[in-house]
Amino acid sequence: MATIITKEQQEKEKMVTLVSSDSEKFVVEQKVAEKSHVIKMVMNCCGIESPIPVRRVKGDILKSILEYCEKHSKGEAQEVMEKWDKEYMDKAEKDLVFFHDLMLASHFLHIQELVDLIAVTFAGMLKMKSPEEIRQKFNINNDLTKEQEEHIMTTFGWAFQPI
Amino acid sequence: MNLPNDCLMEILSWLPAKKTIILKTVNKNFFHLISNSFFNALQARHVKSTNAGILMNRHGWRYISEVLFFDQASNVPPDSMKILSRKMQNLLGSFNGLIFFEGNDYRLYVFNPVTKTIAEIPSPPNVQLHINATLFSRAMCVSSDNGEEFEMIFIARKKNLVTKPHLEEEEEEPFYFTFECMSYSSKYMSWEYIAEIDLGERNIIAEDPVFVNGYIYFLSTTAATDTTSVHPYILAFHVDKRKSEFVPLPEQVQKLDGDSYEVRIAPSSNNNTDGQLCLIQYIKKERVVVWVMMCHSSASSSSSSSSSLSSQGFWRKVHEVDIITLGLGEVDIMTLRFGEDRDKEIGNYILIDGKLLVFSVSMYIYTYDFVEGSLNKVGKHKQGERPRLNPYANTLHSCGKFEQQI
Repeated sequence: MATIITKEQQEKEKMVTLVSSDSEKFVVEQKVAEKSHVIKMVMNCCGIESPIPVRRVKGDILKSILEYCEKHSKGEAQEVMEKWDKEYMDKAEKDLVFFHDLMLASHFLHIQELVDLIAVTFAGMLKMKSPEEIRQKFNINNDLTKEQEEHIMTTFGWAFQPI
Repeated sequence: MNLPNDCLMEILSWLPAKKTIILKTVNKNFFHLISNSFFNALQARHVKSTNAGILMNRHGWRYISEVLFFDQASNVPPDSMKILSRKMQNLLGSFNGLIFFEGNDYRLYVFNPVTKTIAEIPSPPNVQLHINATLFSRAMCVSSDNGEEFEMIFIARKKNLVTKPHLEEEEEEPFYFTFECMSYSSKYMSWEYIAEIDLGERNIIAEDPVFVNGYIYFLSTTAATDTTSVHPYILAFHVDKRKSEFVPLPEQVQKLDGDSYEVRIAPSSNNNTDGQLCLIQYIKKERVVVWVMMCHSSASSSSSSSSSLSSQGFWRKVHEVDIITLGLGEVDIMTLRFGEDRDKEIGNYILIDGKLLVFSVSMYIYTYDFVEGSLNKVGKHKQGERPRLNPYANTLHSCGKFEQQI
């Protein structure tokens, strides 16, 4: 059933229900849910009458993501948004597991703006860390052989020089 | 960390080239992720955070260009700048990690100083590159770039003027010049002629045009000595519509005497598609003001006739800082009056990402972040009083299919 959604109707705040993996329900405006490319596609083909299951995303993560989507569907001034984004990230990056799940979920839901925001913040965390510090912090096993590692370090010698 | 590789690649691609090279030694997975060409393209698109330094040069082939970085996560091999300076005659621009220049052999090149790779760009048709570049300016800007293939717009002063017999006497009056504008696609390796641009009554500063949202912008000179009564303006040329408009500077800027301030233009973000044009005004001995041009495209579509744009409400002042905050405040009123503060003048300046003011004061480069309100001394340079400043992004951007290692 193809229902034609005019612009005015959309503006009348059509609501859609999203259900997280732990069965938590979220009722949000359609334009908020549309921020996710994946949910937008689901809404386009299945309509918004029945609740949409978001099976791979837990309730607390989905809540946080929808908070972001809601803020970003308002069309506020750029400076306001940047400040809000910064505070949103400051809060999120405190808990590494949460932050990690947020990245996964926004990637899965295909919200590119949010993926970029998290990726930039994540990159900022890595920027001043050495490879060894990164391995420790994220529990990564170094499977390069001594020779391979040395080969990289001699090929790109300039990058490993202290300034 | 058990993020899937595509997430991890997204994250790492926001780091500058030097840092990603170091992170190749984390493990095999990092090594493979960072060594792939898709990663390079992704990183080249993320200039917002890889824009990590400043490329400086001065006119003349004898000088060695320099690059200074804002932090230690970025760098280039130490001999890169020497290689560049040896080959370069005229710097055209620096975009997304690639440096475009005219070589000593009068050919166009694109160079990545990190990978030390270079590729030749076929010469634009009907442009004589062997003519003195300082007199017959040529400039370019990148109009689109997906991290692998780019499109650029090249501007050259109209060639046939060179042969005009009376040019010698009229060199002082450059109003008769027009620009020829053409675009180059690295994907098809071909040139397309776009248009001859009418420059208006004033002289146009050809160096560093800005491409934002389909428009290419040039700034006119501001000096009062120009033999014209026309106020300084910005020339906006819509590349697809091949149409130019003259946009007046903000009224508050126009009110000032043309010799008491300098202006520059810059994109508000280094993302070509959704940026806005910034106007950076340096009022000598006073302050630096940043203006943003509000929705140019919508304003021009509603008023179909060109050059009817009004400055009323068209510009918005977004940032402002006085020179005391910029560290130029030690000068007391007396010395200001007698102009003995020559060393305390801003030599040259640019704006990066709409918020980072980079400026030179005698031999030092400073940055001032308008959002954070923080002043930093970046380092020392050897490029004279007024170095040419270009933002430089530290990326692994490829120079194209036929790039060569040097």
